[in-house]
Amino acid sequence: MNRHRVLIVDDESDIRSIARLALERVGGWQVFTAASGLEGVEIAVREQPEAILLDGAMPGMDGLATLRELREREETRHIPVVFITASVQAAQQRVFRSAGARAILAKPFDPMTLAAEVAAALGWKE
Amino acid sequence: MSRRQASRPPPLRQYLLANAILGVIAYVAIRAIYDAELERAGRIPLRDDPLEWLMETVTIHLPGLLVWLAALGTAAWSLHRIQNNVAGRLALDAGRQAALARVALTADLTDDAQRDILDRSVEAATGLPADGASIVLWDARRGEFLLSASTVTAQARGGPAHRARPDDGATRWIVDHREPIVVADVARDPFGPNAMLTDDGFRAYAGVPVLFGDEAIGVLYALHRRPTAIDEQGLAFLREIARRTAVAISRDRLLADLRAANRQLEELGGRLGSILRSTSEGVCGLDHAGRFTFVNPAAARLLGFSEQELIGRHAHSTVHGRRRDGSPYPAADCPMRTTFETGEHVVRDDEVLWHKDGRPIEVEWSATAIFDAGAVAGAVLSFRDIAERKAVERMKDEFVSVASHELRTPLTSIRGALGLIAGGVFGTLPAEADELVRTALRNAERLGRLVNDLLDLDRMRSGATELQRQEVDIAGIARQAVEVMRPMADAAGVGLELEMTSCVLPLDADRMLQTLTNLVSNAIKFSPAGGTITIRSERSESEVRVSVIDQGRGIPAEQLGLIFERFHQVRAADSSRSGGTGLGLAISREIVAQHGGRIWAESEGRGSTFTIALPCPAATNGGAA
Repeated sequence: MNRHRVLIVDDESDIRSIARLALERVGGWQVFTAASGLEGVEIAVREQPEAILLDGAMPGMDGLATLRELREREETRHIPVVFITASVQAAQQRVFRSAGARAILAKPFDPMTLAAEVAAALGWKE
Repeated sequence: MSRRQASRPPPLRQYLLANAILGVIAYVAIRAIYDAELERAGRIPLRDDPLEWLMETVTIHLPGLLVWLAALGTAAWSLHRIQNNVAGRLALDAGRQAALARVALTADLTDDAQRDILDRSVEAATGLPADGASIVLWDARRGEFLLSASTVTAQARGGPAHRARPDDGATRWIVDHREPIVVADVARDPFGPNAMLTDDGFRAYAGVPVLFGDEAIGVLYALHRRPTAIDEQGLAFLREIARRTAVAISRDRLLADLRAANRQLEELGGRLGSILRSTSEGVCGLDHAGRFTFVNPAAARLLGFSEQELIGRHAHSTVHGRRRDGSPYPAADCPMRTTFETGEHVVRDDEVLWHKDGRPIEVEWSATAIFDAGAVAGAVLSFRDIAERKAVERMKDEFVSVASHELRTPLTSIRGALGLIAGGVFGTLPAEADELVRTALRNAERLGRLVNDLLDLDRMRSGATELQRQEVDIAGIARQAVEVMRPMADAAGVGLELEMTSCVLPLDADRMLQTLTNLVSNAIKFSPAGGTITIRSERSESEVRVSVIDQGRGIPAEQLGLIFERFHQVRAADSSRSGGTGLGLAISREIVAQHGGRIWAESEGRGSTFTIALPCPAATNGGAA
């Protein structure tokens, strides 16, 4: 099993810890977390994760703005982004996709299969 | 012999009788002279031999006598005709003509005017000449004949008809037969003696029906103080008075009806006017060219114009000439055109009207055609401000969006935590604790589905979701649904069988899969272990039907129509165990409706069949799946 390095950006600390547990304990990955879009960009630049799991709705810099910022920057442009969002509206999903999201996963997620779903969405061989 | 014939002694008979008597007397006289001449000439008259006398009379004298009698009769008949035609006509003097003229129509017809008509009629009837006249009319309200006018006694007017009427039997007979009666002498009245008449000193009468079209509404009587048989001319005169009376009365009634209708119209107009003035709905009348002909105060207020400013102006270009985004809205594209062209009622709630000061007004408007002789002569445009409703809709959308996020966020934590524990990430739990955690997890999942379903349904209802249609094989979707549901069916010990025929339709594959999965999942929930569920398709000219058939306990007939309603679950189903949200069928119905199809359930005793019927284009392929 590959020890993937991923970044979780979500303003809800509870969800950060659940997602971290799901990916670390079930997927066996290395997980970084950020509580805001700004912090997420900072960590992404510093840690260069293989993928970024982004919450759609965050105060201040929201998911979409964060994605755009990541696409703006040379250091993070190449990192695939997967949205994990509570909003399942088709229009919203289209916006995420056209902004460059590789996949969109819905909340609530199943922690036992989250790693597998992210890997599948990104085409990672587990 | 009818009563009428009995009551009218024909004058001709009298003449013939008189002539015959005259003839016999003449014959007897001539015969006597003839016999005397024979005797004087020495011949013996045959007087002593009756048989020979009779023979002679019959063979020699009778033909001559008959010819003579016939000549006399013809002369008498001619005399009678001359008397009738010439003398009778001369007798219809200027007085009668003047009397008829008096039964003229008065300009101002009221209840009094009607009485006036009747008074003139009875007056005219005395010009026969007669000694008195009466009109008896049927009073439908009272259900009896009333003496409506009389020259005999003014006090009797309006009273029960028999007071001065010759005879109830006569009136009834005349009205029933619509024919006149002449009684020359009340002593020989075929309807029996009439004390009322004789008390008033009348000895003869004639009655003619007053006709309203084919219906007799009463009788006009001419009364005589001496036995008198009214002649044909008199009767014709009486009939003419009756006819004019009827015309006058009918015209009076017509005018009275017209006045009443006018009054009602005025009242209605007044009421409509006050409704139009007081309603908050804008109401405008448009002519055939779409110009304002009428504007109610609410319409003027909502549009910011005065009523006078709008009248005569073209409605579309004045208040509807731009689209919501301000771009020009050609009159040719205006949905109101449909109303003018086809007479169809048009309702729109997605367009704006423009206020005089240039701001758009959110309205729901409708156009209803006004027809004149089958063609559209104009339209009524009504509209109301729906800014508030639109605001509420926006708030609702916002709420749904916020609620979905706010509900899902805590659910994600709960479901995630329970999922990790139940998944054994932190080691094995004691059996009871494990069971509890699994229960909590199951319910968290259910709550998640409920939130999803609710939002789904809401979005579909508000038309926010569009179908992503593509050409797909319905058999393939059914196969997928079976694959998805196989684990659940296996766990329940239920078999799944596919009897699908390939058919490519323009479908939203995800939505259709959701629907079929839903139906199969329901079928599994209500199937006994060992049962079989069949998914079968059927093809007709215009549609494809997919049925999910189970062998469960069936659905009570009274619930068949309700199960597609939100939160309706068949009673006694343990919903917490089945894990249903109560929205599955409601969502399925919405999805099928979006595809232009129908969904329904059938159940007869054992087992239920849920069927989806989807319209299909004429040319689609077939073949075994």
